[in-house]
Amino acid sequence: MSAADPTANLPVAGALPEGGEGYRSGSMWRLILSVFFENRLAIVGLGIILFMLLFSFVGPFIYRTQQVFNNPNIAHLAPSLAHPLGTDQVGYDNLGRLMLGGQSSLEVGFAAAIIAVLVGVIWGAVSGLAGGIIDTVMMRIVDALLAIPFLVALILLGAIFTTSTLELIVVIGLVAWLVPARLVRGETLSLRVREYVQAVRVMGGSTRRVLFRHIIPNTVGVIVVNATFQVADAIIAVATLSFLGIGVPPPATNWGGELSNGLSYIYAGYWWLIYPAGLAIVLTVVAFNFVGDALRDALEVRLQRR
Amino acid sequence: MRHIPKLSFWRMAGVAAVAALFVAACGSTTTTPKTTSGGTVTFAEGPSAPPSYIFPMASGTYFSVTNLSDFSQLMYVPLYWFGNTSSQPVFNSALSIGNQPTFSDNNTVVNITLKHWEWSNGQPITSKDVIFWLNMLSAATDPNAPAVGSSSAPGPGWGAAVPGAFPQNVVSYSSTGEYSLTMKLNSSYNPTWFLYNELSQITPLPQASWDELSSSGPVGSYDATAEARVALPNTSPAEYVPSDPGTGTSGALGVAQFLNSQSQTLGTYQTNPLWQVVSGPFVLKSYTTAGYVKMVPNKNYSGSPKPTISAFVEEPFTSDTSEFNALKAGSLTIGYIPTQDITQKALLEKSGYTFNPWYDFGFVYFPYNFTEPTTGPIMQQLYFRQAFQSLVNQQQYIKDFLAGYGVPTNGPVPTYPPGNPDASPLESKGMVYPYDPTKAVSLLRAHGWTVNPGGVSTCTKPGTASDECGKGIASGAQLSFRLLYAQGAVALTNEMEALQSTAEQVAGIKLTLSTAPFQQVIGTAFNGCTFSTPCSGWDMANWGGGWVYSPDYFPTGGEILATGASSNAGDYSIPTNDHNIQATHTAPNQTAELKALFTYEDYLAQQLPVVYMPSGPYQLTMYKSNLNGLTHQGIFDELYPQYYSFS
Repeated sequence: MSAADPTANLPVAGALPEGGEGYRSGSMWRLILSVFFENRLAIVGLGIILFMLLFSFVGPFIYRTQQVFNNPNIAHLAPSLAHPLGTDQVGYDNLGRLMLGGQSSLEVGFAAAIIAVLVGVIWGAVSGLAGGIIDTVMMRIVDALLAIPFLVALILLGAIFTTSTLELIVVIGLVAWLVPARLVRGETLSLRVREYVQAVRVMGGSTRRVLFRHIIPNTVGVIVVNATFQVADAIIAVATLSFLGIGVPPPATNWGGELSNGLSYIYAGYWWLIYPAGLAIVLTVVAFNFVGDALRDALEVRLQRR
Repeated sequence: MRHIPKLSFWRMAGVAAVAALFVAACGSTTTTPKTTSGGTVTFAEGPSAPPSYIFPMASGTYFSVTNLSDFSQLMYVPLYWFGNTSSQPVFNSALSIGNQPTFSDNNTVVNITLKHWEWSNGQPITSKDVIFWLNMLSAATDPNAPAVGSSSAPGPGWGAAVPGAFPQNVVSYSSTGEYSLTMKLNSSYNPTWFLYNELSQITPLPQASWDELSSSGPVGSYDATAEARVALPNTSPAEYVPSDPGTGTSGALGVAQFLNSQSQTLGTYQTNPLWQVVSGPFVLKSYTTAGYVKMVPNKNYSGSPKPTISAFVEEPFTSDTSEFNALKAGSLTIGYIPTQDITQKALLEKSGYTFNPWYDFGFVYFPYNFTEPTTGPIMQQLYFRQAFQSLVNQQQYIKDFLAGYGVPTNGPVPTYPPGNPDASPLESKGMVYPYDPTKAVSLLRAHGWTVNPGGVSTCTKPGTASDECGKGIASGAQLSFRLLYAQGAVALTNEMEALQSTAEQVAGIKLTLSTAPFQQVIGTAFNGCTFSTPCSGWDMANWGGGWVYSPDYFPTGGEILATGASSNAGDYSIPTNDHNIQATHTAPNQTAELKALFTYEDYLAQQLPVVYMPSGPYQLTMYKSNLNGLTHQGIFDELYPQYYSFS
């Protein structure tokens, strides 16, 4: 075996290198992807998310239905070739309604998660890096807000703001940033004493540079994992708000609102108003959780096989 | 007063004869069941509509069936009770504190005598308690009284107040004995109207316990400041108000404001000693701010029959779906089937419930806010209201959303059941403005609007000529309105969504829907909106019902559609209509009375002061089959739990 042999670092069959099992080295991202795709549930989750995105945003271009103006003359039709998932209480095609509802649910989910993560990351990183009284004050604010039950805070904010998709995003984002803030603050506390951070400071690097070039980039693992869970949580939050009647006004809709409407007819036997919307929420939330779990495995150093 | 539909909607009309026929048609052959005393009756409240005001003198914001007929009237009996257990819209002497009043001096003097009833604390109910109410009412409705708190209106207000009407049409009132008093009126009035719509507003209150200005202060005679009356200048016939109504902290107004503030402190209902002194068959035992109410019999109730059940409980629900779940679980003695669950009727009947639709005497509508600075001028145009009404597909709503339980509303006087003699031939004949989208579009185009189906129509021909948009409407103005409606009732939600869709798709009228709890919707709509104090927060507001004629039991509409009336939500104000209403007040005999009523209702059937919506039963009642006393339900949405018993 020559020194130039690319397989030089591979373990020889029957003989383990010192320190235990070894694997082919590569870039960090290749390693992350490798670990991620080893998780079958992650692939299933990713598939479901892709399907839901295509279903919600591309589906309406293929399966065209009237989703702005209703038609009570065809209310409560059972599934048929003309309406594969039947029609709802005011005559909207239910399959088309599900696509429209998916757009709103996913938009709110992604956008609220982005807001939550952005606010949470900056808040947590600043708090952790500043330390002292600033850290204490900022974290007590987070603690105080965390003490308010999530649902109560959502309902309160939802009642204050008139509900549109944009306002739902802001409301959920404003409530959801607390968890990422705590996580990032914890990471920052451990990162700020690392040698490379000390080195930047010694070389005269500004606090801003430390924060944005060295602290936040190194919390990306925590951020990405949390962001996936935030999306799932936001989808549930918007479904909950809509279920409680604080959703988007018609003709807009989302899966939670669809489910809420459907449950009003549970005794009438209109199953097509309940199961599809419920299934869409469950599948999407579970899918994001699968992806989040896999990302955590892939990004968490202690769980990586090296 | 206003209320929310439980399940669907409400309203049915009927004068005594018609109602009696209707009841007979229902085949109410009854046998006397063996009854037992005791037991708790659990009654379902409307979706998101718990009682939230206990003081019987409720302002427009709280003037609802939920707060009055189904709550405070069980504790505070009006001087004159209307309605009976045969569902007839008539004066009920047996349940009244007062004997039938007599009129003299060409109907300009009213003589009132009281039965010898007692308060729950053993004190007699006297003329002083009636005058206590009159003093506070006079102060609370005095246009010259000082504003209280942040309100621009004088005093806490009264939801049945009409400028120039009761008590401003009373020159003086005074006690003539412990159990009698007399009133001198400023003109000769139709005795039917004066009893059914004016004296009906009086509820004796315990002066000896409530006449105070603060919780810690002594009980006195603070209300007496309002008893001396003076004529308002430039009124004909002269209208009278107290010479000294008091202020927010003194006199009669101060007492009314104190009781109003106590009533707004919901968390203290069950501990506040004020509310333990009652005249009605029940007294409050417990209350939560979520709307759970438990009442127990008032052991000192003077009326008859005395309650035999041990407690009457009202359960709150956030939606009709959650109410129906409770009904299915058998936890309600009296509940209702939402129209979307009507297929479950037979199943519930098999499980021990009896079906009994609850009809009442009113009509369903929702108001326009004519005072809104931007959209008000559009809604003031008759052609717009005609176009908008032509987009309300009442027949379809009845068929698809109300499970067939309902009739179209044609005007302000109930037409259901057929043959109601108060309904004019025009109203009885059918809708003046039936669903007609083509006509709606034509009307808009003929008045300077560029109709944009599926979008928003705009005014392209401003001006006041007959083919122009109308006064106050600028070029480029859009047919875009905010419609607030009560949450929790599926049928109402469906109606609003259908109307929104039709209006935009056909005529380019954009309705932006939003929902709120019932109390919030009526709080928004009945917030004293007038042209001098306009409201800009809403364009149309639908609390899901309309009006049940109580305490204006003779349906002349003065309390809801006369200029300046407390419950005239959007300040509809047309002199012809005011004149028509006034004519019903002064009609000298029954023939003239009916003629005046027809003139009034025909005018409003054509003028469309509000958006008429389908009228149906108040609720599709389901009650436990072993409950007696519910064969007939209050035609004014009132409750009679003192008649309930279990067998």
